[in-house]
Amino acid sequence: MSLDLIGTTVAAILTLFVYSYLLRDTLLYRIAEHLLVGIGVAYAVVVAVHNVLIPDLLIPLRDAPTERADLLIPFSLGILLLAKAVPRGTRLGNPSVAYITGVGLGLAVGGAVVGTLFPQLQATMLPIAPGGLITPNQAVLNLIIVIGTLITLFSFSYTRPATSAVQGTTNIAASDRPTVVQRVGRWFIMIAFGAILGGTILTYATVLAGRMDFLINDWLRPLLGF
Amino acid sequence: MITCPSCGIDNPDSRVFCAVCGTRLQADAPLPELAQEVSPPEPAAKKPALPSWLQGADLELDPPPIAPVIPTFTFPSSEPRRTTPDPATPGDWDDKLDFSDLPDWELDEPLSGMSSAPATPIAEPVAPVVEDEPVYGEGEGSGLLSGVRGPIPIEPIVSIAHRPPAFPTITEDMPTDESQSAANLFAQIAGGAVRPEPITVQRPTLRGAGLLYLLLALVVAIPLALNLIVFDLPAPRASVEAFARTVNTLPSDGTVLVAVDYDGGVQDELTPALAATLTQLHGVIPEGAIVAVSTSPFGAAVAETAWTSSQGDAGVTWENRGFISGGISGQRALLASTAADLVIVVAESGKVTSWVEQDTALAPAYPLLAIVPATSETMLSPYLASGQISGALMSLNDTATYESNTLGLRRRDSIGWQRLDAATLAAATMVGVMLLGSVVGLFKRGR
Repeated sequence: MSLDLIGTTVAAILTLFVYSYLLRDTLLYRIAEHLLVGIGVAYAVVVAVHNVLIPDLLIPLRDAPTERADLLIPFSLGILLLAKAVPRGTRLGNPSVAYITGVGLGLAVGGAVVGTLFPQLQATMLPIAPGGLITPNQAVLNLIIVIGTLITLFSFSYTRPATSAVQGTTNIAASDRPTVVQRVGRWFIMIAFGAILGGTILTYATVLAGRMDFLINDWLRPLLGF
Repeated sequence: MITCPSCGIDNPDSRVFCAVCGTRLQADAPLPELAQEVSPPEPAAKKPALPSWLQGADLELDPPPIAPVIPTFTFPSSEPRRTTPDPATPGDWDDKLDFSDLPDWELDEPLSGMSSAPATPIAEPVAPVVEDEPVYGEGEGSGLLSGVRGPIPIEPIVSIAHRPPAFPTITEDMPTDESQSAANLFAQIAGGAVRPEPITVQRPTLRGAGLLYLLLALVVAIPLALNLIVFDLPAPRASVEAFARTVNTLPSDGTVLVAVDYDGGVQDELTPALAATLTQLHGVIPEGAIVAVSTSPFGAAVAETAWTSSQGDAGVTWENRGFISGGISGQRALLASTAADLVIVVAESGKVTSWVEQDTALAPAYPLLAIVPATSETMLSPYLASGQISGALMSLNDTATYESNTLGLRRRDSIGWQRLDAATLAAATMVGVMLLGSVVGLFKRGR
């Protein structure tokens, strides 16, 4: 039995351990679960130390402490962050947490505005009148997209007050949201959720097919020799 | 069981006293350790003689308790304070009190905001007569203020009269059947005769669930084991064709940055697509380089697995940089410092979104391709429509058509194509069971 087959057999046995959960919460499932968590955390720590801390921080500080004195700042922040593990030293880690949170939030918000909000607003401004390059079918689809986007935004509960009828107004943002808009918006949201659910089922089916392919073609066939 | 002679409740045989009324059940049974009768205490020893300075004093050793006078607070009213009862207002508590015992100074000048209820008068303490009575200095008080140098005005104790809480009164009515049965049950539980059973959660029986699991397993295993072709391969979607077209437009010495940001949960769906993409890159950029990075610690190993699975000549340079720390900060720094002709992101929707946002924030942005699982297709579609992503492989279906049409692989060499029939049958089975269950449930509810 080759080393590859031994590794495949171990993987197959652990796969079957996980599938034992179909019967109930068995000891075999617990073993596989604990192995996954333990090995995953250990591997992540080893990768972080060997791929990041040692080559990017410790070695430059050791070889060129004067030229790379700027690395003392992240080094100090990292040491202070470890103080979070001690109840009395929690406050010492606050500057590190504040720096991480501030930078992360700044990049995330900036990216969300520039990378998602503005491009999506631009993409929603579609021509809804047929003519030129826009076929009637495309115009109808564009109209559905524009109406669906607007109605979905209006139907969120934290953007609308209590239900009341619209008596004709030009300033939609300042007026009360009509009940019909809320209902239609919820339909659009439910259709989107249905599409997500369909994709999720397809993913689960693909994963199941992948595991069965592994068990049958990558493990049983070589093991049994056919 | 022993029936209590007093209340009639059944008690276990081990009990000596009734659990409800406490009546002794077994006269001849030995008492529990804690219920042993205690013998009366011995009479108190003779008290020691009084000290000399107290001898001869006419002391009352057991004086009567002094009833403290607690004056009650009443809001001052504009009307003059009445000192005699008013027969016109019956029910007023003042009517029942005799104000004749109050001192003159209280009647003439009542204290502001205060009224003392003339309750039980203070019992004057018996002043001890001693031989060597200490001489009080000038200005010291007497009686209650004995020993206090100088009269100190004592702040009056102000308390607000309040009514005691109303406790439920015990009715003298006969107990009803319901209350009696509840009392009997309580006595049995308290006596240990009845043990309440824990609530057990109703789990689906293995027979019903096992059949479904078996059906699903057979539906998936049979096409895989027998290598059956159940469905025809569909035509590739526009996003798949755009994906292939974008890769084909790369220069022969181009550099491609591949971000592998998924873990083992979806590797059965994404690794075949990534391996197929690397296979195409082998032929498109034979003098170029492929740089693999990951913001996940496990991404480097996954990328290496996909590279091993890809097919092609060993002309292109493969560089696996491994784990990039910092999350979004690492993505931004990498994109700003790397010169690439194309960026391919292989991840789920959350990570793809952050890569797209950071890439768009740069000027100019790199061309971006995405490989995502089917569950992320809905979230990724807006970025495809806006042009931020040039092309995408978004399911096993796309992978199979990409391998067949773009790479020209035959079914036995195409992992996606082999698994597509089994995955389609599994999805159809799941949806069919859910629909059948919904219909049956509606029918049962309608009855």
